[in-house]
Amino acid sequence: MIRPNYESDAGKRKEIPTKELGTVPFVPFEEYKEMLKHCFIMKRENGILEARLHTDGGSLQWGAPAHQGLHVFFDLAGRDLDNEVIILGGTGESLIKSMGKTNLKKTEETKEFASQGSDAWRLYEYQYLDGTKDVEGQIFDLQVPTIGVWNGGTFHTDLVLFSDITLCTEDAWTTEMHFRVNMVPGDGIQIAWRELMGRKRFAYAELTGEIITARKALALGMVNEIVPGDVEACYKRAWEIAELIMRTGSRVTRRITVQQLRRPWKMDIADELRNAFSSEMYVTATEHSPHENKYWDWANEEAKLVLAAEKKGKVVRPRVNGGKEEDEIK
Amino acid sequence: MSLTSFVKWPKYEEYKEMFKEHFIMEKRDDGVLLVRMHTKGGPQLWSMELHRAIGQMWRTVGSDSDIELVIFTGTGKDWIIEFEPESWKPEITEPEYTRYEHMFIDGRRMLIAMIQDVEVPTIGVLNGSGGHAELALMCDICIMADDAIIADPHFLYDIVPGDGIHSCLIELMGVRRAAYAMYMSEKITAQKALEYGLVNEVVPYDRLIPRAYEIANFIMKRHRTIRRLTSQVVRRPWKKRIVDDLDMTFGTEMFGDFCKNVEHSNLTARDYFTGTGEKIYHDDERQKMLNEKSRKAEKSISDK
Repeated sequence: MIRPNYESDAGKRKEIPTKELGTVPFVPFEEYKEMLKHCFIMKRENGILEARLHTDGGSLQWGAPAHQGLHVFFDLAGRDLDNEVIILGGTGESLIKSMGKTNLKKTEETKEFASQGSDAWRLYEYQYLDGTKDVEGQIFDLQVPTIGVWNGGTFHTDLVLFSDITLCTEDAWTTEMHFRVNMVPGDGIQIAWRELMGRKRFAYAELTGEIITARKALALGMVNEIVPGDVEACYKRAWEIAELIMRTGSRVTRRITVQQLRRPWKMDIADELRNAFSSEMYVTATEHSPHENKYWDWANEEAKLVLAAEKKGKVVRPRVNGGKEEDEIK
Repeated sequence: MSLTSFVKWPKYEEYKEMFKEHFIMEKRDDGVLLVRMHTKGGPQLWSMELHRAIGQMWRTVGSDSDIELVIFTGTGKDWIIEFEPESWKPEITEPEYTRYEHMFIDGRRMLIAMIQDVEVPTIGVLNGSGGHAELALMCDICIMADDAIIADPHFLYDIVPGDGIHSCLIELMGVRRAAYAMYMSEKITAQKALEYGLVNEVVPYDRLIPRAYEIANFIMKRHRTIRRLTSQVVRRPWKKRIVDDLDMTFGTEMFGDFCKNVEHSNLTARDYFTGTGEKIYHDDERQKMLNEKSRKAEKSISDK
């Protein structure tokens, strides 16, 4: 049995009032909660901030709104000294549902991701800039422990894998989309995957588009726990862990501990993120890289087969026009 | 007898002939090889063909176990100062293809081959002024003509300095001076290059090759294996540097080219290096058109 060392010290932070000191106050929670409501549903209790990515109240649809909103969030939430633990995850059935924005009639294209010819400038503004700042923001701007909630299917797993602790639902799955859509993996996801699963497994996953299920992610050390039940159960467990962290270490210990835990990420990001991202962008300018939803739909179909096979103790190996169940090689 | 035989490497006489359009080679009996870039016998022009040949040359020479030391230099009072516009036309007509097949591949290979594929000591001789000085600066030893000037003018032309010279400047001059050299396209005289630790010796132009041979003779007095192993000790930092920041930084340069619509090969550096004029583009009209295009693209951000 773990006994808490302390009562939670949330809200007991000492400070000299900013007015008295003449310092700039940070943007208060209520303000950035409102400012970012188009892509985050936020709540905070006992110093624990929960931020759920969403589009119109449902699962997130990827595009510039969240891509930009994320680094604004990391910046503002990171500066807010009243945040002591941050939980970041998705809404509904999946962490990321698709690209663009779907309404009942049609899917709007993500024009911000156009890359060919005279649109090449968009690569810098809407992919490189938001993308590098998202990864750097999550690792460098947040000072407190972070817990990722990975619900259902998703790409851009860096959003939950760069958290200090990662939880997922039983039906969570992902696949590395870069190579699948003819892109070079350079936006930071290669760091998260390679460092967590190992370079040999990452090479295989990247080049074959292997579906990574919750069970596989747990076995490979990409997540810490699979939480039975739906996304709410996963958040509940995240809150429980957050409270445990709050009662185990005091404020400064928590904050300095995560800086220590995050040091390898910082080294890797400083070492390779910018140039690797640029190389991804360079190749995106020269090759056709379809940012189209059908690729994600295909991955979804495949994931269903893989998850069904897994339940029967079978595997579906990546093959062109594959999808057949096979026996695991012992 | 084995069932099969060893495959023969190309010999000096063969590759001397193979590379004659780009290099004049002179091999001494002791294995000291002088490689001099040229174009039609005169100062070398920067062509796609020479750009590729440099990497091919280092690979081929590096494979010849009769070669014991390489002196690498150019012709006349130029280093790399003039693009050959006709040769680089494919960058304009087929930028995607050319920037990968010719710029990304050959541009990296010419340095990687020099560092990775050569087992013997190398001496770079900067005979004249220009850019791409890393071709000589990354040799184990480097000497420079007293009246030569080197610089990295990428930034001046709206190009990211990422094709190797950045590695060289950061490694040799230090971050502070390298930042200035890259942002300001600093013209570095021979005296300054010596002070910064870019080169080992400053030598009057006429004495360059004799001095290179003197250094070669000094090194050649040592035992063959010791020379070769020493070159590997000396070169280790370059190997690390190239792995660390050549491939992906080259990608950054190429990415920038696509965002800005700049054509690397539409540049002429002669006026810049000699300080005789303002001209930096071969085709001013074309560059004006490209600038207009990228300005429009940038403007459309604020239009939204």
